[in-house]
Amino acid sequence: MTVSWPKPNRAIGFIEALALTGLTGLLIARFVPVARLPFWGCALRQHTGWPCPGCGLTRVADRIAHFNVAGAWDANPLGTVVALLFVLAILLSALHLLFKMPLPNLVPSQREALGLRIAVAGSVLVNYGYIILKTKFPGLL
Amino acid sequence: MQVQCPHCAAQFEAARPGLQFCPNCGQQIQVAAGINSEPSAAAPPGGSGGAPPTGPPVPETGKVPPPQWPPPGGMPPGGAPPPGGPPPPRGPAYRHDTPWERRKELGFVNALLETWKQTMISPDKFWSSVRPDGRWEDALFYSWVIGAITLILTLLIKIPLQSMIAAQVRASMDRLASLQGLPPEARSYLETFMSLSTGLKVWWTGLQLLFWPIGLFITAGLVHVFCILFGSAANGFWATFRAIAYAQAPFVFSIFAPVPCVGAVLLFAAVIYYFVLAIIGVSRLQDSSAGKAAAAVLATPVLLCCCCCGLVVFAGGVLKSMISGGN
Repeated sequence: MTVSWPKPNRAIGFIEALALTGLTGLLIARFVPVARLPFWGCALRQHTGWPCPGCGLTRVADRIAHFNVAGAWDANPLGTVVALLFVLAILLSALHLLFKMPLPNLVPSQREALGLRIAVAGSVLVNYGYIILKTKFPGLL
Repeated sequence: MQVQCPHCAAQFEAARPGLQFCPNCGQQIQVAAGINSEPSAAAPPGGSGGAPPTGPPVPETGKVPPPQWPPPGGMPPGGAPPPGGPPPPRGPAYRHDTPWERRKELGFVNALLETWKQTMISPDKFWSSVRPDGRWEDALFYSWVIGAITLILTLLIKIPLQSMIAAQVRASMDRLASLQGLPPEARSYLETFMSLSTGLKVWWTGLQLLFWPIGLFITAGLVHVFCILFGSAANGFWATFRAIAYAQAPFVFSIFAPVPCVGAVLLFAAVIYYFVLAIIGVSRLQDSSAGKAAAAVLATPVLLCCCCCGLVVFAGGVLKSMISGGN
């Protein structure tokens, strides 16, 4: 992993885009009762009884926006990690834009990048397995 | 093998022999098998491979060579052509500023129309010429202008059709309620939303216009996350951002969305073409394969489906088709 530190700056970039995404999502989750909107629901689960890999993400956003991390973890663990990463992006972005805090450029080697991708794919699969167990076979947990 | 383009004299690494594009000027060249770094390695299609060309290539009459993608990682980051080579005989040559980025020179309207036309009619040529490291502000401004034109014209078309749409919404609501037991709360929400007064429609359009750049940042951010995951982020976030911003061009056709029957079809076609443009754009600007770019661009709507938004879109589509059907 190659890490380089730029000079202090306020240049906007990828982290700011992620921060904006996270901020918008969390503000909506905080102030709009999304789950109570008409038509809101999972068509797959309603028709088949099986959850999709993103099952619980609305609840994750809602609970993280209300500072209920444990409740969010219960709804979807990987979604909670992603939501917390968005929160981290918001904080880093705020520090970067307010105090010119430099954000490091991280360039992984090919091997590390491959490992990272495998880890992400593995996490998605494990998380989906957990959601299926929790939804369909709660007695096993 | 190292080959030299007969059009622009740029040298590049060819992964295989055969017909392919020069990554510098975009011209098609024939790379013969087993050739070393001699400048005569490449020749225009139809030419006698091996001899260095002396003039512009002559296209073979009646034969259109199949389009090919440049090899992944083969695109240069832009800039001037290598010195010494002749200028390319036709087509967009090097990666340079888009017409929109040269609007001071071309004029605002001409630059906008030219960029829109190139994006829509010859996307392959257009994206090959766009610099991944160009100014993101220009791309954002272009997208915003496209958004403004779309939203304002949509509003102008929607207002005269307002009473007809309201009547159709009511008829659709009655039918939906009788068929599927639509909850009264849902009916109230939908009726309010679909039968907005003119003032509220103007207000809503203004709000959409205000949030257009935010939406663009969010879309580009999400697509870039998947670009990183799928290994197609070689040129950084702003290359993805520029691809997504310039790919907004087809949304102009969504101005006809309020028109019954035709509107929904045109809107659907615009969305599909947006995805096509975004995939080609990300592929070219990130120097990645089309497959990786497609995975990165299409992962976002898949994710949105997982977040239950798919159902909202689906419900909206059903409602819209009912309205457009004139029931």
